[in-house]
Amino acid sequence: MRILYFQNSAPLSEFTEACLSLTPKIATYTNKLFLDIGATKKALGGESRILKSAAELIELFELDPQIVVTDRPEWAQSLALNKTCIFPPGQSRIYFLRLPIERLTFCGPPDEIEKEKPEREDLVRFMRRVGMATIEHFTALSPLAINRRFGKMGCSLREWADGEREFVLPTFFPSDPIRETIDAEDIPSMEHLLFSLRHALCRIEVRLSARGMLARSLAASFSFLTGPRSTKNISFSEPMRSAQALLRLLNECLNGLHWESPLHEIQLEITDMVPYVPGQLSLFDDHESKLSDIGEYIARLKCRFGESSVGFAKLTESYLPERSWKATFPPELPERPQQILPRRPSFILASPRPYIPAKNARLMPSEHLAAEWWEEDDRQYFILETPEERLWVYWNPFQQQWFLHGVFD
Amino acid sequence: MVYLRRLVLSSSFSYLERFFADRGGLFQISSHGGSIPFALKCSVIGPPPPKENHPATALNALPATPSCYSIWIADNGFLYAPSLYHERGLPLNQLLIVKVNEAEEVWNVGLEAIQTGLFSSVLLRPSRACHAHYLRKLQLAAERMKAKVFIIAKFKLPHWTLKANIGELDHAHSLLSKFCSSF
Repeated sequence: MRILYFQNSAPLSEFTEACLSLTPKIATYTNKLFLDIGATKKALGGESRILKSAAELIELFELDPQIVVTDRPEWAQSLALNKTCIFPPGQSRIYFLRLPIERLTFCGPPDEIEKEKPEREDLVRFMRRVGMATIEHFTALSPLAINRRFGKMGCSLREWADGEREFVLPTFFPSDPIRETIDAEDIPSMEHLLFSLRHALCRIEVRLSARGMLARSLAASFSFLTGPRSTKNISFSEPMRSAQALLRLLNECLNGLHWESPLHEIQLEITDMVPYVPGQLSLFDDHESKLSDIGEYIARLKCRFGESSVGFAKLTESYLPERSWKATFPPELPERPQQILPRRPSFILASPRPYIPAKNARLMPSEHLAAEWWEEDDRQYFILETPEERLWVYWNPFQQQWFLHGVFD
Repeated sequence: MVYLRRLVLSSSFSYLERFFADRGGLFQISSHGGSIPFALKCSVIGPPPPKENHPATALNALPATPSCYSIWIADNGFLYAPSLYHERGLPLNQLLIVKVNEAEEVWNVGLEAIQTGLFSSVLLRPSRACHAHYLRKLQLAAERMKAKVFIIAKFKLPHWTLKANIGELDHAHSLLSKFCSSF
């Protein structure tokens, strides 16, 4: 067994989740973290790769923990004397036995240590008074002698120190929401803000990767010095977790935002996730990756121009031109031919515009459409021809006005 | 820059296909009527339609996973997909439709779309022209990415940036209609 132990002054909850990408065997106790990295001894680069990845994560989460690599989790806290203590495999016991007797207080699982701390400290002080300087002096005694002199607590400490009792690491299941908070008070410009957001998104990416998930939507909340908090929800056309892609999307959103009061804090939270299912790799067919790239591009355009302004056309069952299709992603082939419609133009305006037909224009009746009974919208369509162009116009008897709706381009 | 008088007057569309194939650059279509279907045809989305020229038959020939995508960008309206689907058999799963807010954004998004390299054809229908230097950027990007950019507009553009201009020609209107009805 090889244990990587972290001890920090602040809680390690988000860092713990990110460490799932190093090994699934994790146990956490508020500000203490145990990782079983024994399985990686010969696989995937071994212990050195794990330590290197852990160092990168520590830098990403801006932590400054004590690090111990040892053979047994029960000795990890006792061995945490310096900032970084890495003991070669099989050698941890030698160093453990040479520790001062006071370090025996920290031998065992963290919750037990916390519960028995006063009793342990009293016992260790007594051991020091009777002349024991190191843990080796204690473990040199026979179990009978330890029981007679130090009682039940002494026996328990001996079992932990000799490795007779095993500290089973409880399994860690991430349950906290993936949320990052950025303090924006001292940020002077948009570039600085994006730089700070990039770090937060890198942490989000690592946590999503550790959970094996992809994000489908993100909520960005903005707190100001004065005024109410504002929240923007961003849905992705294609589930993603890449920090770079998320940053591009956020950049598009921020460009469209204006605020009256100085920004105090930004909070990013992943509101919807889906499991990550890796696709089948193919040397010759890049359709999946191309579609994924298009999905990411569409998400950026939607942030800029709106959800209904970007997408592949999907036909819907409606005779009204503006409701007969909608923008969607991913693209779909129509299942069966829809009903045949009268002749309509290739280009229609986003919304019908009031229009005054020219006197020399020729009008040819096209179709007559009526909207829902609660909408005062009745349209008599005509194809209007002039020497320069052909337009699609309609007369609305309710409003007593002509409207231009399309162009036969 | 080539004026497509001879090409348009030619009765063989395969000549135009050979002209547009494997060429990146800007092409302006400034004629009356039929310019959108013509541009869509020249952007080579989907396989050639069958001779029966029925939308339902054309649908059966469409591949489920398209090999190339095109993008349509306009500022004051939408490409009316149902009409093009029913009458021309337009493959809806290969054309991304984008509606922007201003004419300037048509050109901006067009340049971005070319630079992504995701689209083999970019169709722009802006309500206003852009500055010549921006058009030059579009031209260079289109040639570098080998993307065909079709600008459907009647206003004049600097001819030195365009590879071809299908403009007002003798009998062009009727000939374009003939081309469009044949695909």
